[in-house]
Amino acid sequence: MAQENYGLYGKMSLDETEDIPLRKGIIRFPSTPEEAPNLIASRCKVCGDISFPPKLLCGKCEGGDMEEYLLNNRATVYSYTVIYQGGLPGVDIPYALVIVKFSDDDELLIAGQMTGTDPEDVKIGMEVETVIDTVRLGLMGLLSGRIRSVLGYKFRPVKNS
Amino acid sequence: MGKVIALGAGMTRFGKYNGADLPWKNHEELGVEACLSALKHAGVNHRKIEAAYFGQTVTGMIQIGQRVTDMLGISGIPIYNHENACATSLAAFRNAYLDVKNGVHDIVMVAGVEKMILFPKSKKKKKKDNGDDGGDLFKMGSGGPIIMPEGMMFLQDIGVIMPAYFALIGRRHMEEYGTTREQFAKISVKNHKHGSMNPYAQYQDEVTLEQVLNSRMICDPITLLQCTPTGDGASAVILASEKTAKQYTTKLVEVAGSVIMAGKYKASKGDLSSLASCKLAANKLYDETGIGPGDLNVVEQHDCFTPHELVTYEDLGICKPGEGGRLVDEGVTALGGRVPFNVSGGLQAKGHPIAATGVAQVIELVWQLRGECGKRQVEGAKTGLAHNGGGIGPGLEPGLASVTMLKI
Repeated sequence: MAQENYGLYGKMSLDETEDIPLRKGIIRFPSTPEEAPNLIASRCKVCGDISFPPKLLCGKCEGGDMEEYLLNNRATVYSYTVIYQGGLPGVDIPYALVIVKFSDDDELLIAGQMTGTDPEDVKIGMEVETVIDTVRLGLMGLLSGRIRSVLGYKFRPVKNS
Repeated sequence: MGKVIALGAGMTRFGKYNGADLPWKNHEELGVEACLSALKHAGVNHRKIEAAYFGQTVTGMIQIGQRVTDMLGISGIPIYNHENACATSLAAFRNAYLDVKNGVHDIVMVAGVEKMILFPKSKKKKKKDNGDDGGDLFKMGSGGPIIMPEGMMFLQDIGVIMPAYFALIGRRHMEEYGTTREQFAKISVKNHKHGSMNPYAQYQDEVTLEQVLNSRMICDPITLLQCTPTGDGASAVILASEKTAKQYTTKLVEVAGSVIMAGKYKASKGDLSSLASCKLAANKLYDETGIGPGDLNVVEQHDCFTPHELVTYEDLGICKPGEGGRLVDEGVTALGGRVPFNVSGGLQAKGHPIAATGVAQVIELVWQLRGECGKRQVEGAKTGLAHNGGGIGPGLEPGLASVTMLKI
């Protein structure tokens, strides 16, 4: 990202040496370029409920023993909107925001930004895959002039599925 | 446990107290104005107040309750300050209601105070057209870069701002039931028409369907004129036990019930065309009060963005799932219809100073049940329900649903 002007915050340069994680322990990074990333959910060892972001204790039963559960890389768009105003620092508007469902659990709804498509082409039922991407810019280092990317996940249409 | 009576209700006009649109007023000034108005409406001396329950969000800094009551000569009593996003002051209201119901106190004050416009505006700048708030929506706690650094709220970080959340719900409703953009937009037209009859409303001008549909797109399908504006304001209600209330008035508006429920994890079972937490809260309220959806005469609903009002028709049981759009088309929820929604103008036109909103809904119901609403009066209204929602909770369920029933 060669962008240098962050509008409200004046001229600052992006520190590309270090990213901020969106949240620790929610993404399994691929070990080879061919491999796909996965979102890390939690699964209750008692009732099997899957939750994302992960929970420490079960939200459905009294279970207190949770394990990591890797969500499928593929999901389906359940609902969408295109945001034209009120965006995030470093995210160009308009952008599409979706709620997707994974085949792992029909009750699990996960929100995320779309990438790799014109926002206005997003449709309900579209098959998407999880990718790793910058979701916004961080502002915590603003006073010291150190702006960093917040690295998280987005969804991208599956090509020619 | 005795009956709880809403003895008096008062509020400021909602709007931008920025020194240009309306005179500059700070949190304390707004709070004092509303509380004095409620005391006067109730005919209660300030020294009779036994406890105060305030709602405030982050802009109020700390202990708004103490700062306001101090100016009113009230001190040395229990004072509580509550935060619960957009449902802040009905959280305060419920605690006050329970304390009076359980005989802990006889007369109490509940208030919500909010200031979202924190800087004065130059009078020289040209005013924009009605409803066009420019960048204000951006500032409205919507994850805008001004107030939200990263790492504090997960959903904000990925861009789930409030209008987007209700756009996602509305879009799903369109998919499931064929609801149209026009049906959402008609809710804005209706509520602005109601607001034109309310001197306390932020916007008192009517808008046309074309204006609503052609206003700037914010989060598809929600256009600017389907978004609640940002604004300032305060609201206050005096609650009393039945025995005490009878010393002051014969117009006894009873608080029949008040339910608050945080969003229940996976209650919607993966269906966002309806808000399960609202259904759970409403059903609990109907059970507790013995008043059902068919008995309601007037409803104040949390119409922050138009799809929210439409899905709430269904979640409150006013109609079956999928029939919300038809209700709008048939005018069932307009003034003069079977169950008028948001005759005050609602959040769409009356405004939504966050912490003041819930109590302001109750105020409208108190005035309606007492027959004091002038042109927007729902004739013969005997039961009213206020629905106040707040935030986004676990698994994209709503963060909080609060419902309150009043009857006369």
